[in-house]
Amino acid sequence: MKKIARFAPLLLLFVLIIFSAGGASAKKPLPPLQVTIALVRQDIAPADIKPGETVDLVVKVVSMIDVTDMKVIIELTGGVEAVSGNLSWAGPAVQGEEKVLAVTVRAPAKDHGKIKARASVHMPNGPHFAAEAQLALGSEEQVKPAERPLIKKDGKGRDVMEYR
Amino acid sequence: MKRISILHITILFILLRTASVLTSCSGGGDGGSSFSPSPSGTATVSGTITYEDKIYGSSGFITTGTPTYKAVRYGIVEIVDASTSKVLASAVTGTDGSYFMTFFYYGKVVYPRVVSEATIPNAQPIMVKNLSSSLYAQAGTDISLANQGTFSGQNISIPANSIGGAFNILDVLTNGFQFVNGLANAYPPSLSAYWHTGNNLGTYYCNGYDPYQCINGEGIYVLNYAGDTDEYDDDVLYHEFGHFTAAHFSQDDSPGGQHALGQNDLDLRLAWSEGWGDSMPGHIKMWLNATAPQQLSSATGVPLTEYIDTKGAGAQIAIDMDNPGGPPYVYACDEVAVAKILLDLNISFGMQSIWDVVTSAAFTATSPVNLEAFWDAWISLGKTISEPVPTIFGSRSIYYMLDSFETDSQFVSASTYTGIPQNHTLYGDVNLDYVLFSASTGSQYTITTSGLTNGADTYLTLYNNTFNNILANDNASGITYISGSNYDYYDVSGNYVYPHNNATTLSSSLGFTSAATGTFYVEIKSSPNRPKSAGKYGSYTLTITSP
Repeated sequence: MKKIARFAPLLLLFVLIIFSAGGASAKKPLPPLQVTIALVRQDIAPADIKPGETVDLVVKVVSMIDVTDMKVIIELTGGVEAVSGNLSWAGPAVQGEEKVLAVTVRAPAKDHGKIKARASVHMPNGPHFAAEAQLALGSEEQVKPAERPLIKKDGKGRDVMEYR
Repeated sequence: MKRISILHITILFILLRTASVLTSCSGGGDGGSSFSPSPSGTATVSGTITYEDKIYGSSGFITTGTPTYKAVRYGIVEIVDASTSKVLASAVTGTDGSYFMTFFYYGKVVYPRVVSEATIPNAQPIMVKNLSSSLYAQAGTDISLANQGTFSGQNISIPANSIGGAFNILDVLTNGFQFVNGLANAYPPSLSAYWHTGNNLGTYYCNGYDPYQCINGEGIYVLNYAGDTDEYDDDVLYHEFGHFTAAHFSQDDSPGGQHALGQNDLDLRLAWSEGWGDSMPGHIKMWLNATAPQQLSSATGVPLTEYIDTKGAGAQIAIDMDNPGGPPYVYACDEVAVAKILLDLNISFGMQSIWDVVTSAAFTATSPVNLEAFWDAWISLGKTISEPVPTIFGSRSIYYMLDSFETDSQFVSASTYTGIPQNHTLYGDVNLDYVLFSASTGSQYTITTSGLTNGADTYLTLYNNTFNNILANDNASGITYISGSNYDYYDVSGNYVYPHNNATTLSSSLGFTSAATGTFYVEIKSSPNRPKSAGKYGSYTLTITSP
């Protein structure tokens, strides 16, 4: 115990150095639109939805600027079927306003499917912004992992990932 | 003695053989015209290295037409022994991607490969690595050195669907290095970009190590986010390169964090830093257009100042930073407004003028650095402040100038409030505004500042006619911003918390009932308690009302 106490200041210093070391990151700009898709039922994960099951979804779009003509389009792929609700919307939005589209869909009878929501703003002779979100229903498709390149040394003894 | 002699002979043989490799003649095509190929006992390999580029426009990548291949400039090419993986010789490609090298021939199968490192003459290397700090390399086809001689046409074309992206990053950063060298007469220090698929952190520049996002220390991290990759988004790469230049040649006080285009209430330091980054693609592409237009990857007809960030086949951002339109792209707390001002100044006065200011001690020794600091340094360096400068700033509703009520910086020269709200600027050395009004006994008055713009943070003080302080207010909300307590910290998501520079957050308000009939004075100044995110200048509207 005494030993731990003796090294505690050093440990604290180490932790402080690790977590206070100077790096700051400058991120790239984001479009002023945010899109999210969520299941209404929060007690179930998208991957747990059974084939053919009907689920309620909420698509939320927030614009961080005033826009006169925002478009929202919901795309269903992989056998997902619309049961009710609008799959598109267009109109104005003020800064911070949240547009909500409630839709009910049926999961595909087999395999998996996806719901993609895309919001876009195209100002005449002005900027164009878009943002999207997607949600997979059912277990994700197993993607074959890409072949790993060979790791070799370059002329200076550094690791290189060699592709052919 | 005999044993030693054999050892000596062996060592001599090895040394001669090594020297033969080390002294192999190699280089890029630019310097190769005087070379005599295939001296006895050597092989000569030559070729051209190219990578597949992606041409982009306002709607994303243009996928029709013939694929475009560009030269891998200043790239390191190595000749590798196919059986042992040993590097036998290396060369640097020329500006046309060509290389040649001769090396000691000893009858093996070898192959050329290009490594994701560029070394511009007299500059430190630029490297593209994965997050494990491994360089990328594309191998060419095997060459059987069964017979000594010359092996030309050993070309390597790196496709976009393989690691072409690494070489596009390298090419874009090479453009950036050359751009800076033209301004600073010096290249930046070595730069590493970390390109790694299968990650989900986005694209950003780190000025040093942190255990979460900057695990390899300083560098440009090109990591995808929710399916958005940026290895071919030249404008995004130039943006982050702009942050790199600020860190090494200028000063950057930005706290970082998320920022979306059109947010015009940002921390002034963040808006400056990001505006500098947003303007950088335009600066570099205008320079490329004049000096090396073949290096551009934007389609013909796309404005050079347009910033495009693709996602998948489309564009998630396409905005001409020099022609963004009106609001919300206004004020010093908007990154697009800052970018437009810098691009307009470039067009009017040249990039060198801007570079001289941002690298001057007048700017870099100022804290915090933001558009105000740039303006002060611009003046102190004797740059033009007459037209078109006021129009350039005014087009973004930024007024670093005295207002129409000046000179009202003393009690004796106070302007008179006539019942009409007054628009003022906080500007000048004294930075005080005095407004007088007449009050009646028992009447209630409310004095407010509103419509704050450009990072203004007002502080109101009410004086009676004998110039005694009666009341004062910093923020109408009653909140005092204390660094590390309720602002100036990072939340659990890593976002910097600060009072946004909108119309009201840092405004002031006083209510009082006059005890006597007479003249009262309102003093308005930039708050002595202003947070680091706000400015010493800015604009506001003063209103005095009585029910």
